[in-house]
Amino acid sequence: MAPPGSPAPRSAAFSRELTPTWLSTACLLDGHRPPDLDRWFRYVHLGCGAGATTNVVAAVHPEAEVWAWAARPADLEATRRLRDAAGLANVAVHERVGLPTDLGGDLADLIVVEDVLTSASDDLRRQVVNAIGRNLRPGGLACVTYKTTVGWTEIAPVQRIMRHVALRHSGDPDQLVASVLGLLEQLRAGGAKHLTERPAVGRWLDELATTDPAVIIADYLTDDLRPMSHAQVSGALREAGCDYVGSARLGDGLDSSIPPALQEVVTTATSPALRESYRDLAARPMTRMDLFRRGPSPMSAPERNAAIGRLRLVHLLGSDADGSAESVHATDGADPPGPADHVRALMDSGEAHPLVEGREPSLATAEARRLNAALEARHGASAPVVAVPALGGAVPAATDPVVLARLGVR
Amino acid sequence: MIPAQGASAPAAGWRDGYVVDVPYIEPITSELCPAWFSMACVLNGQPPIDRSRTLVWAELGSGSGLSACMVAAANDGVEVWGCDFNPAHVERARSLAAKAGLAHCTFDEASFEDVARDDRIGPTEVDVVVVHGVYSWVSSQNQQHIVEFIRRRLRPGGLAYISYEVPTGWASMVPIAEAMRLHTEADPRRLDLAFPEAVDAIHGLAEGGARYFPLGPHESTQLASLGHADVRYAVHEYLGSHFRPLMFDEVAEAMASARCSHIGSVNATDHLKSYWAPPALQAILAGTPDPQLSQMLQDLIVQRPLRRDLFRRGLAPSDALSQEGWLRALEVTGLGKEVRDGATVGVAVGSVTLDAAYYRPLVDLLAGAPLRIEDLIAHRSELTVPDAAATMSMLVGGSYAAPVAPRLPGGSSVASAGRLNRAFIHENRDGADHRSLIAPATGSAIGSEYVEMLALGAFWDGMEPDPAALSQQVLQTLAAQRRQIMDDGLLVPEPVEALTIIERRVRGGLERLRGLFASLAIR
Repeated sequence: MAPPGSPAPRSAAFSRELTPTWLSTACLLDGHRPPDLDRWFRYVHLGCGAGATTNVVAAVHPEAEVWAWAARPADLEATRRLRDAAGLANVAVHERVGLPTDLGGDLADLIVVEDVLTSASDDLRRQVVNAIGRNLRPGGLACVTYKTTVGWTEIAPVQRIMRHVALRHSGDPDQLVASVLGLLEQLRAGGAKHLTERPAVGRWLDELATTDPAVIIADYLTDDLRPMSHAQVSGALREAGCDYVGSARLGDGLDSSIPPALQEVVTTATSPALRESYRDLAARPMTRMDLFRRGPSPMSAPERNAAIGRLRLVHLLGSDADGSAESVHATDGADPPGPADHVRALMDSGEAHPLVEGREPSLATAEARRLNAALEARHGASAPVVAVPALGGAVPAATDPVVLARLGVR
Repeated sequence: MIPAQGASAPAAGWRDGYVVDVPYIEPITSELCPAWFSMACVLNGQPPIDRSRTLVWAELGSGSGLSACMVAAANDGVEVWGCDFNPAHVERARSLAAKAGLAHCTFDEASFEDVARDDRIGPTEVDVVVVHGVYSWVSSQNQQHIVEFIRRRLRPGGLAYISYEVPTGWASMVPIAEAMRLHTEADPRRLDLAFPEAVDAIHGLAEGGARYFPLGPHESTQLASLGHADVRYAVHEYLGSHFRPLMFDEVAEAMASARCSHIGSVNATDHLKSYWAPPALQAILAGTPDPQLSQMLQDLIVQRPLRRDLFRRGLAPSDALSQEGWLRALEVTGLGKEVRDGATVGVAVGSVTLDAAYYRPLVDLLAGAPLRIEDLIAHRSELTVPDAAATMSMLVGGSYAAPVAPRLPGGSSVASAGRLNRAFIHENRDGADHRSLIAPATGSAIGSEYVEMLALGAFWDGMEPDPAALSQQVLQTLAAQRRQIMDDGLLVPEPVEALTIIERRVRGGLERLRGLFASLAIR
């Protein structure tokens, strides 16, 4: 049963962390051999939202096959419309009900699961994990994004009440969100302890007051909110034959992400799952982007540093930002964190982005041009990103025009 | 297979994610008895349990079996069956039932899946199902098995009691519990030995500025108490793989699938609507026609950590006249507790201070004989029947009184309770730590101090009721156990001083034996 009102697509935003280039680089920085993306590859996106990431990946990798699925019809329709508007022939949107066991075709090199598990039933969770286990190529990468227990455990009971009210709302659909938020505000003003004695809940309620009602319906009134922990997700992916590599959100791998006094207790934790559990308690992230590899393939420090040294980064922000590419100055020796953390910091801050191996910064493709036109048509002057083939991804549309010109767009 | 929310790594072997290498503590929950459940039904507008025929009482996840043995020993006309998947628990429960000669109390080693699927295990039809301290610690599959057992076995008109932890009071403990479990999993030692370090690590994170802290108020209290908690309790509470607090609607919907409707809480004062919320929020609850939403809002308002819900398979027709009849049939007996100035009673919204001038005379009356609604009205003529019932609830909620259990002609509860009490005391001599005596008058248990139990045991074994001699006997037993007396929270190592304290307690015990315990049929 759905609440009254029109849920917006789950996410209209582009996620740079979910592109093949980014995931491949993250894998390398964490010391594992990245998948070979020089050849034809298959990218599966479960939870494609409004299709921005899916279609960017297809446009900047016209040689790849992209397959997309989402639980919500609104997401599938939006993804399909953007694909059609951009004339992308290499995107298949699975519009039938349910998740096919073969994920629509051949083995996948990359499977991205974007915010699907958070709201999924136990049954769908099993289907997704089984699909990864059956369809991810050995050496392939799976990235799973989800709302964390540490971020949402206190909010979940409030959301459950919101959804309970929404499902039984019989009044004017346009008043649904106002009615639900009104109830919460009455409760808070009257001193309901769960809303007044938990700072995280209070902050979230404050945010809700300024959130677009369509987003509130999509994010909080339509599905269950079932946050997960890293131990749960990594345990399930391990059953599917995948090992945790690191976070696709590169800043998570930097020491600065946790209070200094806790760095030792986190880094010396006696198991990877415990380390991530402590890290989450220390940093309290609202979401995680966990990267897994089918079959571990660790690189030696010199091997990794050499591979990092072959990366070419394009500077997008700051005084060096002119769209030119330069190699990372990697040390040869046994100091693995050095160059890896340098690249992490540059990419995480948005200052730099790696080039797709073998591509030149000025590479332009017809597919990317058509997608950028379609994004502009969808969003008008406020289009959030432009697809950049050389980067294998997209950059904010507000990027310096000089940089965009050097990157072959606009 | 991805685990359900709250679970993580698959559990090894037969453990199925539960703690089995450390036996659970042996608590007696005195409210888990027919008389108390009957009272809860009546206070919430439903008929009492029908005691005109043998009552079949089933406990799923019966642990060490103490509460089940209590029901079997202290109540006439009851058949008790318990099951647990931990063989150590079942062995212990059977042993206790055998020591007390409880012929109508059996235990099976069986999982929830076993009993849900195999009708040959346990009674075919039951009147009451008790699921205490289990439901929010088991996997969602096992929750379904529990509900399936209730669907298949609970008699129409039967009761199902489920206690569970609620996110409004426990949510922020979930990641903490998981971190502690991961810590102990990486430690080769037994869980109770590894647990303190896991707790220290969490405290270290909090003190080091981890952004997850502070926890919610109830969870903060729990975390602070972990350092000195009984580790047997703590490892079961926190280290199971499936720990997940549950919202009321989840449980109510599951129970609806077993055709069971929510009656109310077994907490004596929870039916008093005026205490459901502070005044500023009562209008919201009053204007909420949806009973599920009303319960969830109450939990949110008071940050309730634990629910103890009673469901009925089919709601009985109920009108004002029959409800009044059920209320008038309620009877409570005194528990020997005095009303002190400033005494409080727990209610949904927190606690309320009793008006000693109002309650003290009632408690004095209770010292003489059990009370019914008409006795209260006779004493306070301004009371209506509902007012008198509310007063009775406050007396029970404050542990000044307990509902009376019916005793049947030719019943054997006094003798069987006596045997179970002696078994407790003998086990205490061997180092156990029972702190309750079984009371046939209430069909449940009453707290008893350790020294008092040892003294009563010596008396029941044939010693004269001479306080000095009994005290010497108690002192010898304690010395053999290498135990010392505590007084006002401090150890008393000096023997002369210890003997003085023991003698004071022995005299008190003998006095209670002649007075209160006699009225509760403890002998």
